[in-house]
Amino acid sequence: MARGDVHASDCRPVPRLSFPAVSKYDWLLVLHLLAAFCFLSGSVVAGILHWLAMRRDRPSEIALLLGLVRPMVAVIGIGSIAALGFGIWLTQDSPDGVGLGDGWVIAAIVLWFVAGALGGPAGKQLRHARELAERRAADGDRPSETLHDAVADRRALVLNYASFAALVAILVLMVFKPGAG
Amino acid sequence: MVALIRPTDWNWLLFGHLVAAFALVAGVIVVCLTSLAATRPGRPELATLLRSIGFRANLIVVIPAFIAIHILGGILADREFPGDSNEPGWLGTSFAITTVVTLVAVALAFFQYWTLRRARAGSLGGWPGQVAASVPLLVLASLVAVIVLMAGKPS
Repeated sequence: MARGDVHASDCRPVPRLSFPAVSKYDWLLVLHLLAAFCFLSGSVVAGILHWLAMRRDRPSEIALLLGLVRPMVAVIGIGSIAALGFGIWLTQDSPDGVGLGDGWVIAAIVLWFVAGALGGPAGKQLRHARELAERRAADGDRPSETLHDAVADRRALVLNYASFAALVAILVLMVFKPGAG
Repeated sequence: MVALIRPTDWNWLLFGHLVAAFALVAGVIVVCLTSLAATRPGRPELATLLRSIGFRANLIVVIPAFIAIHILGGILADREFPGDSNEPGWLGTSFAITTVVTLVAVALAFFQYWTLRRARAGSLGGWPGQVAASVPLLVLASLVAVIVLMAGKPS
């Protein structure tokens, strides 16, 4: 059943914003989804750039690639908070009874915190690697084993992968909604 | 909250469609970042590296993700709205925009290849580089419009 049908069969009036053809719920869904794209796609971008940096030897190239991660950190941060905020708001306005107390919603919120807790320390390690790369680039731009170890730090990689797995798990919950009626 | 009430077996299609969409947006952002950074004045070998990454991201991530979105989105649309007469306007518009942008991405790949060859030959400036830097932004803006249409479903 499409959502249009759900609205059509719902006797409650559907609140509308300035765009007359889109309900308040759908505007919230738009914002929730755009924020989710910032959060998840931004994380993928950061991961790709990190992976590319690990494959380079020259500090200037590593500094350049890790430098491109910086704007994505802001995108990911804003996206993560907005996705959570609009997601919670959606549960208050849900026309089909999705509530904040539903198991899959609670699990998604827990995973959101897990993703943040794991991604934060990994991000700090990446910033340390970028700063080291910038210093090495200014100091002769010669390949360095210390820099390579900092960029490919095992702990940061594990944390990043675990954080990304939590994000994918959130997406699975959003689509499959286990336990939802 | 992306999908509301759908048969369970459709969820795999929706999940695949969304994974492709997230990968697509990520790929386009990588192309935007690298293409814009490549136009900044600086060391030419770094600009060549950035153009190479942008080209490969378009070829390996963006274009395949566009194809996956078309295929999975088409199957989903056929199941949810069987028959052409049932197709809502927002869906048709989204498909039209996505098709045009897919063609733009393919054309951009040729442009990026040309710009990359010019960069490797030592020619970094000029309008080809500017085009290769600005078109990905248009692609990203179009994708945002499609996301708004797909989630908002104005009707």
